[in-house]
Parts: sequence; structure tokens; C-alpha cells
Amino acid sequence: MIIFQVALIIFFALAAAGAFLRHKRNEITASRAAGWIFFWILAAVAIILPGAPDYLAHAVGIGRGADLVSYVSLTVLFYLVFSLYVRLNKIEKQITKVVRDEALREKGE
Amino acid sequence: MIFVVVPAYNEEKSIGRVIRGLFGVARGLTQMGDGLTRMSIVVVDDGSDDATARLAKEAGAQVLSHQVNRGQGAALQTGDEYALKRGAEAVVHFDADGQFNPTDIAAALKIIESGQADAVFGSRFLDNRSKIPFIKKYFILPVSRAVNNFLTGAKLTDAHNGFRALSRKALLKINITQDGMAHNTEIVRQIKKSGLKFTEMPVEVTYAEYGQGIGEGLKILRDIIFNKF
Repeated sequence: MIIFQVALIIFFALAAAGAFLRHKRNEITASRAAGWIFFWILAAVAIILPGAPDYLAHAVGIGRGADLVSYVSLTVLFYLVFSLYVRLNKIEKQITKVVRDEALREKGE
Repeated sequence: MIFVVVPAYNEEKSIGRVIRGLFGVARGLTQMGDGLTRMSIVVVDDGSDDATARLAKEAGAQVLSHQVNRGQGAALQTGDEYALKRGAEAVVHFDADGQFNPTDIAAALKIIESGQADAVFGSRFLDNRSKIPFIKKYFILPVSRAVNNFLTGAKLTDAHNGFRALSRKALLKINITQDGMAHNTEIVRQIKKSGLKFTEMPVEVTYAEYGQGIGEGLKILRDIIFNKF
């Protein structure tokens, strides 16, 4: 295996361990930790079996494994960013509600 | 009772002057015996970290305070709810930076009182009193106007004007959820949807500062689009 693969696998292992630790520290839920660990394992598999992404790619009709990885990653990322934005928006509205209620209450409503 | 809602964020330099100007108009209206009941001035201090709230209180206004800054739309909604709870017959939205001319309020209230419209929107373009900066007048505003008219369905001459007079009926139809500057579009859209009569009237705007530029305009568009989801 080349150095790049080794380095990436070490990184994925650390990331998975990090997810596990955060769950132990009650920072994230079990399902979220499991989700991320699964993701990092998948990433490691794609690295260890260099043919894996290519195999999958051909199975769905795309030329190269690297392309498949890019397409899927981008899609997932866009979706994640979008849902984060929606979530942020919701939180902003909640903050406004709290601030408004306090302002009105202070004035004797 | 008419409530003038003044959303303010760090406006200590102008708030005293603005409130005194508004009280002057209030006194004038009562003297004319216009059939208008008393006018109350409500400043919504939107999390200012300067002396805005204190100066507003000293000038004699009612002051509501947001503990942190939420945006002009949010401040207006807070002021509107306060006014409604106190039985407001009409509400006027008036900026705190001294760009508006308080004497325009009398004309706006007349329109509401006469039943000509339930909502009056100020426009810089219906007369020549406002001196609008060049790029703003010929490039930024025409684009904003077109976009706004498309998004709201109403054909207004001014894209974005903080001067508004709303009857109680109109107030009840409005719920400002856009905390930032997009509330201008949101309010117009809600009025249009309600089927209530609305109209524009000329208001005078004096530019000491630029106001919203292209960057802020894009931000507003983003907020409106994302809100549709």
C-alpha cells in the first residue's frame, strides 16, 4: 500500500475513534456516532480495496470510481449544508421568539 | 390610539431628535382636532449597545428592549404586537435614523381614517423631495423594484421603504417572520394576499447614509427564497 493510503486509513481510524469518544462523553447520540463510524469504515474500505469504487461505478454506469466518489460526496455535502441552513433558520426564529416574549413581558404584558 | 413604532439599533445619534420630531407632529394633530385620538411613540431597541434606549426613554417614548439584536423585521413585529395588545387603531412604521420626515405621518393617517386604504406605503418616487444617490436611483432601485414586484404581485413604485401606515385590520393580517430586511417584501406580500386596499404616498427621505447596497439586496433575496422551503 502506498503512503497516501496508509495516511488516510490512520486518519479515518482516528475520526471513527473520535466519534466513539464523543458519544462516550455524551456529546452526540448513539445513532449519530454509529452513522459516522459506518461512514469512516466505508471510506477505509474504498481505500483498501482500490477496485471497490470502480466496481460500484461500473455497476451504476459511471466510468471511474473516483468520479462516483465525487458525485456522491458532492450530493451528500450539498444536502447536508442545505439542511444545516434550514436548521439554523429555525433556531434564529426561536431566538427571536424568546427575545420578543422577554421584551413584551418586561413591559408588563 | 395611534402607535408610531420606531425600530432602532444603535441610533443614539439621531433617536432623540427623531422622537422630538414625532412628538411635535403628535401635538399638531391633536390641536387640529383631526378626529385622531392620541399618538403614542414606541421605540423598539433592537439590542443596541449604545445609549439608544436611555435617550429614547428620556425623550419620552415607550421603550421595548430586545436583549440581543434580531433585525428590523423582528423589531417591527415586537412593536406591532405591543400596539395591538394595547388596542391600537392604527400603526405607523417610522425609521430611527432621521431619514424620514414626520410631517408625512399626517397625510398617511388621513388616508387610513378616510377609509381610502387599510395600508399606506411610502414611496420616494412619487414626488421630487427625496434626493436619491445616483447609482441607487438608476441601477440598484430599478432592479430591486422589479424583483419585489415579481415576488409580491403588487406594483409599487418603491422597492423598499420603511415608512408604512397600517389600520388595525391590516395589522391583524400581518405576521412578520422575516427578522432581517426582507420584511419589506413580506409585509407587502401579506397585504396583497389579504385583499385589503393599499396605496402609496410620497414621502421625503433625506440621505445622510447610503442605506441598503447590492450586497444587502442579495442577502434579502436569499432570505426570501429560502423562506419558501
